[in-house]
Formats: sequence, C-alpha cells, structure tokens
Amino acid sequence: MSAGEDMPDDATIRYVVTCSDLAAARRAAGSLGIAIDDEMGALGLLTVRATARLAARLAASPGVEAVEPEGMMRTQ
Amino acid sequence: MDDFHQFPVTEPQYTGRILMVGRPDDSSAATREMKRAAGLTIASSLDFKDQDTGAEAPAGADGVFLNEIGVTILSEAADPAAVSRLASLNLFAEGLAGEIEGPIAEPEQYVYALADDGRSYLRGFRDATNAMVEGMLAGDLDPDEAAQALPGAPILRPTLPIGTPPATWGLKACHVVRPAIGLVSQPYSGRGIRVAVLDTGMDLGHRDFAGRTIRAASFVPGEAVNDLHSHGTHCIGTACGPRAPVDPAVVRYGIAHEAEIWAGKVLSNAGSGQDGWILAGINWAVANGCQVVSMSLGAPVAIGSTGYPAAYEAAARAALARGTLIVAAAGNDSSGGLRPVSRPANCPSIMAVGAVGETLARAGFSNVGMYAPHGSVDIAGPGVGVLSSVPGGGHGTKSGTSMATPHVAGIAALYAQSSARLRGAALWQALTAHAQSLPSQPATHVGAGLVQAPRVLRRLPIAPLLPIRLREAGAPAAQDA
Repeated sequence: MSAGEDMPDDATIRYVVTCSDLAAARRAAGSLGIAIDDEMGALGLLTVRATARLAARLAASPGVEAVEPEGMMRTQ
Repeated sequence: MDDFHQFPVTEPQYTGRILMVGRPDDSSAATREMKRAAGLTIASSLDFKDQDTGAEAPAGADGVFLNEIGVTILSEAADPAAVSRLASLNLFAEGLAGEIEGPIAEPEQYVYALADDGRSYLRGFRDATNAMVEGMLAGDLDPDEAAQALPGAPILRPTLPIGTPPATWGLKACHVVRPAIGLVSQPYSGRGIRVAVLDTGMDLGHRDFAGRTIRAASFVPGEAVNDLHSHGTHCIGTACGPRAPVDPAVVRYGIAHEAEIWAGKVLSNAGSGQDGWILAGINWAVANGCQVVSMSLGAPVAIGSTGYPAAYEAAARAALARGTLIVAAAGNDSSGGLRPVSRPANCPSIMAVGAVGETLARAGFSNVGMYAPHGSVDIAGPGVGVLSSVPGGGHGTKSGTSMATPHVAGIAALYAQSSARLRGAALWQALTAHAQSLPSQPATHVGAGLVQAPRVLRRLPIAPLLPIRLREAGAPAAQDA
C-alpha cells in the first residue's frame, strides 16, 4: 500500500481493494471491521471504507494484492 | 445508396476475361481441383520457363494460374457454367485468412496502352498485381493508391472517379467508409457486438439512435443515465452512431452502427467520477459479455510517477481473460509541455489511445509514453474537430483523446464482428497490427499508428458477368438492372 500517507489515521475514506482471493479478502475485511461498499466479482475487486491504519492491515491480509485510496477521473 | 455521393462513372471496358484471386497452398493440387470440380483446364505458370506464360492462355486451356501471385486468369472462351462452379470452390480462400470471404472473381476491366507485345503486358500485370496484393495483405498499401505506388507498372485500372460516402474526416482517415467501387470494401457494422461506453451517460432519446438496442445503467449515485453533460453522448455517437443520421445535412459520424450500445454512466453530469463508480461500470460491462469497453476518461499522472493503478490493471487483465478489450484515453495534459499517459490508460493491459489531427500529426494536447514498458501510447485515433451526436438530438464538434478513444472502440467492434477469434488480446493485436504507421510521428506519441478499419477484398458475383461475355461473343447485349 502506497497511498493514504497524507491522511489522518482516523479519517475514513474509500479504498479499492485488488484481490487474488475475493472470498479471503472479504473475510479479512470482515474480521477487521471494515465495511464493504461494493463487490465487483467479475474483476476481483472490492471497494471499502476504512481508516488508513485499517487499510494498511487489510493490505497485508491473505487474498489481498493491493489497497489503493479511491481517486477521481474526469472526461478527457 | 442514398448516403453515397453520386458521381459520374466512366463506362468500364472489359476484356471479357475473369480474374480469380486467391492463393491455394498447393498450386498443383489447386489446378487439379479446378479441372475435377469445375470442368476447366487451367495451366499453371510453374509449367513455363521463368513462369513466362505469355499473353494468351495456352492452347487447349481455359486459363492460366499465376503461381507467384495467386491469380487465375480465365479465358473469355471458358464455359460460364464452369466458371460459376469454380467460384464456389473454397480453395481460393486459402491463405488469405481474415482478409477475404470466399473466392473473389472480377472481370478484367483495365485498359492498357501497350507499346510492345502482349508478353510485356502479362508480365507487367503479374508483377503489378503481385506487388499490389502483397502490399494490401501486409496492410501497408491502400488499393486506391496502388496504381500510383507501383512505379513502372502498367495502368491498373481506368481513371474512374472515386466516390467515398460523406463522413467525418476521422471515419475517412480510418477507412471506416470506403469508395463504393474498388477492390476493397469495409463490410462490417458491429452487428452482434456489445460496445460499452463508460462516460457521462447518454441522451437515450436522441433521434439518431431510434430503434437501436441500448442497455443503460448509472453507477453515479443520485444521477440517472440521461446525459446532461454531452461528453458521453458524443463518444457513443462516434463509436456506435448511425450509418445515416436522420438529418440529411449531417454526414456519417458513427462507426459500429449496428453494435449493441451499453451506456454506462460512471461520470457525473459535471464530468467527473470516482474510481469505484468506474470500476463498477467495467464490472457491469465484463459481466454482460461486452467485447469492447471504451473509456474516454482519466486523471493526470505526475512526471516521474512510473507506477500504474493496481485495481485497473487487475480489472483489465480479468477483462482480457474474459474476451473484453478496454480502450482508454491517453489524456489531454500536454499543451504546455509533454506529459505522461494518464491513469488508467497507463495500465499495461489497457489500450491507451492518443489523438491526432487531420494532418495525422499528434494533437498538441495528447499525452505521450514516457515510462516504458508501461504507460505507453498504444494506438492513435482522430481527436481534433470530431463531429458527433450531442444531447437534444443535435450534433457538435469536440476535441480530445476522449474523441480518439471511441474511434478505436468502434473499429474494434468491426474487427470483433469479422472474426469470433478476435477477442481480448487477439483483438488488441488486430488493431495494432493493422494500424496505419505514421513515420513522421514518434511511436511514443502515436503507438502503432492510426487505427484502421478492417478491409475485405471485394467479392463480385459471377452471374452478372456472364452477359459481358455473351455481348462480346456477338449475342444481343443484356441490360443491367
């Protein structure tokens, strides 16, 4: 996990979780008390709401490849 | 057709002979098959010293097969019924996979002004056709330019005016539209292909899309699919707009005019969206079997930032594995100096689309590849002064890599229709392999070059040709329909 460094530890924001094992990642999020906003089963992704501290713990969990803070896109 | 320019056409002059195009793997077997199945006796150029066949078919033969170029010249005396049977043989399609549908037969209609004997004519014809066919199959020679591209070759065709259907400059540059006559056609429409455009939504009531199959979903909380921004409607118009706009004053601007439109609203009416919305839109498109996903969106990447978003890369890999190609805009941040390809187009598994203008030079705003091996521009599309649909039933012009991206998406749908094998990575390969190289532009700016629509050597029916022979044989002239 490379982002979230500038966020206060207690601020809850949205993260995108890249999973190698969706079920395991979902269990890990649940065990950490992290709320899952959305699950994209075809892509192996989750969006969650978490503090930076919890997001870092989730990133180290089984079945999780990456946890990135959600960004914004614009028309080009 | 009512959307084609009318133009005066010089009456073609036919020799009465028929050209069959195709390169069987084994010419000897091919000529045997012609004799067996069609009842024709075909000589092979392999039987002649230096393959110099002379100007006329050998005595006792109905034609001659020119081995080096895969063209058979049938004599005007060949039995018409046998010629029709010959046209149905599959062997002519061999060796031209992906470029040809069945056998090709054309009347020999070119007029030659020869200063010497007929041997030079046939040698010139052989050499010119060889070069032309090889060039077309290699994808680096446009048939319209063939005559001019072959120095020293005989004239390949009469100086027929070329009629190209009215269309935007981008559709012409990408050869989505082609002249009504010529050796090559572009017969695909995207029929049966699902194209997802993830953007600001769509004006679902736009008159140019009446009767089309449209699936729509909004992933933007609190906003319906209806496009109150205009960007999404414009992009959908380029990728999937109609062949003939309702307003006859508007030229064709849409590419895959029979594709299923999957309009995913992932950007708000203000033109922005969160990663979660966009990824949810990708998931929707992949789960529903869309073969192409077009994303004219992005966020700038800082110079020196060599990474790419893991979530989008994972999504794109999953999509490719399920036969879905994602194309995305390279970004518009370079007007004040070159900037790297935006995210998510900088993901290795997402096809990044740069923009070119009408001169086929990189548009000044179009971002470039800086951090090989990823973050490259993979291909380019028309992105300056692009006319397309806008909400309210009208049309407007926009510029951006956003406009280049749906050109690639629409053309991807044409390739996907052309072959069920062209899905995911194979579709990516087809697009880049057939792109028009732009030698004056660095590959880091335009990738493989300007995207090009698939082309198919035109197949002409045999039956209408028969009256030509009868007329030349002295029979009463038949009237064309």
